Amino acid sequence: MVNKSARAWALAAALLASTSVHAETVGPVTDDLGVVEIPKGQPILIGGYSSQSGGDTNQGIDELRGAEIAIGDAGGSVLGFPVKLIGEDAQCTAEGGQTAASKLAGNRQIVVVVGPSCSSGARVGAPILWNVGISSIAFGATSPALTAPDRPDGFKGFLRSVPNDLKSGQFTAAYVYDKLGLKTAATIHDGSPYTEQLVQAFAKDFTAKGGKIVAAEAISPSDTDLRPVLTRIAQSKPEAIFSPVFVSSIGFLLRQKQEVPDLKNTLIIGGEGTFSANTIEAAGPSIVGFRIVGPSTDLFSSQFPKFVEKFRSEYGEAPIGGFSAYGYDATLLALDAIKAVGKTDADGNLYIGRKALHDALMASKGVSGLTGTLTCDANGDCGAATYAIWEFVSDDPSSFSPGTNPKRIYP
Amino acid sequence: MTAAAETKAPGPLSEWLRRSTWVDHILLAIRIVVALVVLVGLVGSIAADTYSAESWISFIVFGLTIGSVYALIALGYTMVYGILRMINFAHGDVMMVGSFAGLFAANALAGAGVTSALPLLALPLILAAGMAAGALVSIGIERVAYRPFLHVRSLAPLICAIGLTFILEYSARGLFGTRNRAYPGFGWMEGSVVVFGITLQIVQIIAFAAAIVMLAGLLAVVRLTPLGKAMRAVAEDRDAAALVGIDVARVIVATFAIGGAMAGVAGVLYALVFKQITVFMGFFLGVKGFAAAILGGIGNLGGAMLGGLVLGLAEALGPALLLEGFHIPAPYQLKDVIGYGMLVLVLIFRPQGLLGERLSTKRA
Repeated sequence: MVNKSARAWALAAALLASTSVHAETVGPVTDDLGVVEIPKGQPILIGGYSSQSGGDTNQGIDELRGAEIAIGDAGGSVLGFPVKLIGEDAQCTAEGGQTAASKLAGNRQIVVVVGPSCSSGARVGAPILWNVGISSIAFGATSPALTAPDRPDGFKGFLRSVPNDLKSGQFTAAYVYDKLGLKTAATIHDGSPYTEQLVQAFAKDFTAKGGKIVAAEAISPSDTDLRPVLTRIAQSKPEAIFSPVFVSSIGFLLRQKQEVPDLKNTLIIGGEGTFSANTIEAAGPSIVGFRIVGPSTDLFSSQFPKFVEKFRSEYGEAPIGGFSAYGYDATLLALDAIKAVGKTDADGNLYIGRKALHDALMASKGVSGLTGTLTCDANGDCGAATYAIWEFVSDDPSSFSPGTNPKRIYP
Repeated sequence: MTAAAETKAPGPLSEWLRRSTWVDHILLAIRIVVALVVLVGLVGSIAADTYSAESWISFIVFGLTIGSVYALIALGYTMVYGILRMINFAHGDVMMVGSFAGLFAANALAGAGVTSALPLLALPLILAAGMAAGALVSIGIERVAYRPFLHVRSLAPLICAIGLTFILEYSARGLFGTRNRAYPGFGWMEGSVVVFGITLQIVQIIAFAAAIVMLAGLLAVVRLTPLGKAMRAVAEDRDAAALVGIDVARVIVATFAIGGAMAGVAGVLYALVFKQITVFMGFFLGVKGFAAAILGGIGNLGGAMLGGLVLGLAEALGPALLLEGFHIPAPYQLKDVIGYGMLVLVLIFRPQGLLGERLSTKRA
């Protein structure tokens, strides 16, 4: 019995030791978080986790395709070593993020990870990776909490090429207050971290400008009857309602707003989650005039059109929105950092210090990416915010085409 | 001390104290706390004076509309339970199938020009499509998930029905896709009418009227027809019913078919009111319908109707009427808490539901 428990303790201790990070010296490199040794001729492994199943599959596939093109553009190699991308499915859930990150963290040869697509996956996945010293660069997780100055230590290894929602909130507040001159607004979120933090960011910036949030409401994503909550909001007569909720909810909101007399002419601004043809079908005729804040690919860098052509010839279809560009930029940052810190010995083996790599990533400055110029701040936000306000002009779902329906109206 | 004083009957309070146990005391305490919370909330909300009279009327209309949909779903649940003592958990997804059948019928009718030529005929045809699809799927569910367990006392049918919800949802996903589908409206149904100064959407009136008509129809079937008599006999004692020559299997199939048709009607009316449907909508609405059936007293048709309307009203009115007084921010995210909280409280004090009867030992 004693023997058994002693063995169990020893096993637990060994497991613990195997997953914790520690300073080590391998070849010419000494690093506080450990060193990855890549023997000559072997590939540099980059992990990638994104939504490969579930409702956000198209986004996840595009992001990893963007990463593949970035590797291709670098000639498929860095410092003379071939680069290999290992993709995992993070779905768009905490469980998916945990599973994918655990798989990647278990492979000690992985140098850096790009992904995931969603904040829920990053929230669980990023600390698992950082626990073994692996930095991750998200291409779809936009939640402000992930790069907040007071974030837990587990997120210190987290960076992102996609802009923080705070920037989206800031942009929307500036549009509503400065451009439209509206002074009162209401917000509706659906309880998800993305929508809740985005409306908070909007409310903070809108109030700071001198605007007033007259109602801050919440619904549940499964709610179908929003008329009671709209009636409540109507009591305070807001000039605009900011609600970055998803397709079903925005469909109900826009249709039922017509039944609440005081809100008939109130401007509704949605989030990028509704940037799809399906929103037109969900909202029917009430879609006309609906505005959303979302990234604008025509404000991306001048290299983007060339990238689209390359994407099309590689995969036989056009990329969806800007997802693949964020995947490209995350990989670009990773490759640049590897180039900066990788050291070879006399035998031609490559050594990469994990902490050195992280420091190099955080120090990225003025990198010319597809989405714009990437500069990482002290909290790991590297994205170039290129937002625009889009307005739907037709209720025919087949007319969906960014640029014409919805039409970019600002800037 | 006189003899008269000694023989004086104890007052009701001391009699209650003598007979009651600590459970009764806790229940009384809960009652008092609930009553106080409701009272404080009500007074606070009314004192806050946030809403105009029109708003309150709107809340009631919204509550009755969604309540009618819940009631229609609850009617199907309660019908099957009343006869068979079984819960058909796939009922919500039968509703979804009915809703999609109605959508395809509506698109076909619009394509053939029937909707514009005979707008009043289109609605019954769409409802018929929803009812037929609901009944067919429901009969299939009975065949797969219930009939094999007819003579076995087990929870297997429940688990089978839950499994079928996934089969229905994901089959529909494969066939129809995951995107939200817009439901077409008919010109005459899109408008509103003013009744006693209250603006009512025509479609809301239709949903409410349909729920009443369906309830009346079901009651008529159960009370007045030979099939209804057979259903009641099966509900009372399945073996005895078989002994007197009733084809129990046929009655059960008929019960499922009628329940499924109810779900089909609910699906179409829901879609006409809320204008968009998805393949995953059946789950949450099914749970709400089930809650309404329990609230009203499962097995009781009138109870299902009442339960649906009460649940709808609680959701629409509750946040404004109770939570406003406590200055709770964003009270509408708690509407389900109010709805289900009310369900729990009703069941604590009246386990058989609002209109339910206590089941005899045998039937229970």
